[in-house]
Amino acid sequence: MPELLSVRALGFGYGGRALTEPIDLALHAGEIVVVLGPNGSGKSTLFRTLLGVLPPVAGTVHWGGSALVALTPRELAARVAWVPQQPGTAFDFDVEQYVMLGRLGRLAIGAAPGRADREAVARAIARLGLQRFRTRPLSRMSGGERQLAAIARALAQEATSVLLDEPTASLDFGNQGRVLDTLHDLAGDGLGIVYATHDPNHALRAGNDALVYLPGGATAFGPVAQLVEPTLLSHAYGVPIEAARTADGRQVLALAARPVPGAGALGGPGAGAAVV
Amino acid sequence: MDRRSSFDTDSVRHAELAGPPGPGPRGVPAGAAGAPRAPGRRRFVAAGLAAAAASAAGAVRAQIATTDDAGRRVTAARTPRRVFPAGAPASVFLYCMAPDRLLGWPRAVRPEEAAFLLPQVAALPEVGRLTGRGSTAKLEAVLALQADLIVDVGSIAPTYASLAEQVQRQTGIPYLLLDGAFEHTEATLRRLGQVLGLTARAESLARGTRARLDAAAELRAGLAEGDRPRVLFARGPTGLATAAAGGLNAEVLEQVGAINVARLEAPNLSQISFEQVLAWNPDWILASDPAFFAGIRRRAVWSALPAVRARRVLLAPSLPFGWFDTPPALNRLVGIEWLSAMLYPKRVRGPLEERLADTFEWLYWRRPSIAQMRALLAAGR
Amino acid sequence: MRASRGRRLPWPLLAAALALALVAALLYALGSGRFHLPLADVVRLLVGRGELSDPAQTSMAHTVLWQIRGPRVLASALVGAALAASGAALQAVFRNPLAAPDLLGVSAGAALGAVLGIFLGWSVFAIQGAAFVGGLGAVALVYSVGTVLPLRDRTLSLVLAGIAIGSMLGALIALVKTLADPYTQLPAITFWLLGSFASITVTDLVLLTGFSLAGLVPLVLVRWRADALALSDDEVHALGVRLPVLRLALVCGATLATTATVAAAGIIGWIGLVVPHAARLLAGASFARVLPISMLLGALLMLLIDTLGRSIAQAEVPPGVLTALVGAPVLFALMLRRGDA
Repeated sequence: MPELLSVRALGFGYGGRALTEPIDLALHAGEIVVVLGPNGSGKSTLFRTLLGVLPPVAGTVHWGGSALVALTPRELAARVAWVPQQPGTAFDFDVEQYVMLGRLGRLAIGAAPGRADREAVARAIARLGLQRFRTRPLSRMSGGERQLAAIARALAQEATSVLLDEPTASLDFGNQGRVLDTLHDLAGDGLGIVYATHDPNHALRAGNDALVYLPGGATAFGPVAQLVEPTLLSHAYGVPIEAARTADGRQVLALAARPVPGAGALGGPGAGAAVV
Repeated sequence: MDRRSSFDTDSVRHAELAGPPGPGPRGVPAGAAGAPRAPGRRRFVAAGLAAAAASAAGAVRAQIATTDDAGRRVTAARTPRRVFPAGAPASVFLYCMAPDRLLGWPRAVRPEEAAFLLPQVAALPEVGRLTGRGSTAKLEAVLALQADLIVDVGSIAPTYASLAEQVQRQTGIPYLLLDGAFEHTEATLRRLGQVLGLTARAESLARGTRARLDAAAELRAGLAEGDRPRVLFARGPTGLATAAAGGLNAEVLEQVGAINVARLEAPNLSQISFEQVLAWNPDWILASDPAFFAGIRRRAVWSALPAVRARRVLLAPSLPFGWFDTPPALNRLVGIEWLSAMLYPKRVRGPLEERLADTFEWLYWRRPSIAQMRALLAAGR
Repeated sequence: MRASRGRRLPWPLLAAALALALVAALLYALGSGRFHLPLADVVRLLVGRGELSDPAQTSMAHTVLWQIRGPRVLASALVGAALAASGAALQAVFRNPLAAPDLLGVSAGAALGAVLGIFLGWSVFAIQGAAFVGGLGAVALVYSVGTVLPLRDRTLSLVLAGIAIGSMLGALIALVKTLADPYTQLPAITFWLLGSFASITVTDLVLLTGFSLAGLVPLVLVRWRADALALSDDEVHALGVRLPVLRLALVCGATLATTATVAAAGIIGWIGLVVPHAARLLAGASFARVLPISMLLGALLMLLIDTLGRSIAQAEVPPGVLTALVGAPVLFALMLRRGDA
């Protein structure tokens, strides 16, 4: 599968100081890379560097074979679309207008959106199941629906890969699953997906490779099956984590039981807050 | 060649005084609420000692108490020597009455204005205006000048009366507020003369004013209603600002019997439109801005007016003080004479330059040459 | 064509309705004025046929129509359109529905230029030129300072620079007012600052048209891209839209259009603030729709206000006063009606 993103020895951060050790990672078409790590470890900073908003401290980023620094904004927009953590707009667009924003990078000076643009928007809206929200203003939609609309916007952009910063952060349990499944399907369509999440179970549901932030600025990149497991993640998050299996044999991760303070305490062998 | 007037103000004043001349203590204001401030008290003590010393020598400086036009009681020294004008109208009144006692001008005198004034008075410094919020004169500067009287001529509305009271209290200098309305001019002149101890000069000015106003009234009476010219006073660089009928600024028009076409809602300065000017179709246009006046025939809209095509456009001269309204004070007497001659050339006979030169000499202590007069008049037509 | 959205009119219908209303207002305005020239006569003059109700005044009537009323009516419509378009553009740049055309100091700069011109006794043409240059200069200054400020949020730094420099210019204006002669210069300054269409000539109209059209061109060219500014800076970058160029195009266009209006007619507020709001309510948030609707609404509003201002009294009521009296309650009503436009 063609390589969409190639990162070599990348150091990223503000003021010339790298937040982590140099990173190598690769994204191929049809694959999902999940970025995992504790709060504040620099997931958003990585994304800003990958998008060219923040200059890298060291190393290189290549999108679709071309160096990031050499790409024009339009060329970059053809390669990657960005979905921010909490999509919002200064003015109250409706879904159709909002998804159309994804097409703006393609318009010539002074041109209006044409048939191709309108069709791309319609396709993206249909793909995300948002048809009945087409003319609804964003302000009157739930957080999950807005997130889906933002993904539709990224789709309308018709880039070969999509970057999402914590797309499930403020969603309810059900919507989290829907978004993850959508990402899985999109990868199945041939898109390359990179998304950050705070919940390792998401990687298990939708992810091929993982980039894990470890304490002390270390990182690890590799297949999900290899990295998303209790030992490494306990080290990464600094709390004991256990693995369990669902009825149909899928693996899930959970925080270890709460420590028992003394004799006579309530609390049975429950597993604490499972975040599946 | 201009003849310096042989009128010696000092000799006239000396004849007025009841006592020997000489500097005296500054007047202490009466009627101010509360005790004078500490510096005033110190000066009061010093003044008292000086008065005691002077009285020992047999010469007591007397004070006169008077009521100004705002109804305030003001006590000033018998002959105030150093008088501060609160604004432009007051400066004109003071210059005409007692130029040697003037402390300064609200705005520095320009060279072209100085050519018509007494040189040593024209050279006096700029001291700013005392107008409450918009004051440019600092009260400390007024004190530093050692003024012994402040004179203000203009509106006597409560706002200005309370301002006068405030300044008087803060500086300890008596503040005389006089009514600047045109019909009140003679009374104002006489009151000012009384306070300054210059009753002869004041009488001369008042009588001259009465004579000119009577002449204007006679002219007015001789006009049939249809003969009264309709005049537009076109102020400002665009000519579209005007002074409405009944207001302070265009009083000269009423005095000469002209009709001010601008009968507006408020008797003030207002903006008007081209269309309004065309609708009024005035017989005469009186401009105030030289640039506007110079270019009026070239401007598409104005040149459509019959008045402009017939060259019935005037520019009010402004030397040494505005002839029409800037400032609205005694200087307007010149404007009345001039405008009457311009509007009614058949009724007003005699050489205008000579008569105006006489007026200048009487008012401003300096007779301009005929050449100067001609230059002034030519610029206005 | 998009189907109708809830209670909103479809866009082409809305635009047509407003255009018709504008034409009606133009005709009404052409028929009102201090000089007796009713609409019927205006039509006769326009088609060049028929006798006027007062034939003796025919040449004067020509002057009124072609030199005075015609230019004034067209100018007021154009000023309204230009101000509304500038307001919409600046609201897009600053991502804030409370932005107004003078946020970047263009009005203050133009006012300072004009006030200096009056103080120094220049001709009317030079005064207008000074106003024009002053407006452009002020925004150029604000923009340079704003780009140099080391704030991460470029929009915020522009706003801060605009506020600071605008206040400075206001202080300089106040200084000139204290130095001005209270009998001759100060009244002229006061009237100029209040704004007026009373002295619009054909030359003024031509210059106004030229410069405001020049300002509107960049706005029209970026009317679709401008929506991208509603997103965060990072998102705009990722969409493939060049952010600095877009911002510059909108600011330049808005500034040029606004300074042309200030040079011609003085300072008139509220149109640039309120009209885009109303346009957004009527046509949706997309700049490509807000721009033309704002222009039509702005032209209509300004035209009606100027006609009112010259009809209710013999003296001129400054348009800035009327726009404030009308604009403030309207804005209040708009904001009460919908939380966020």
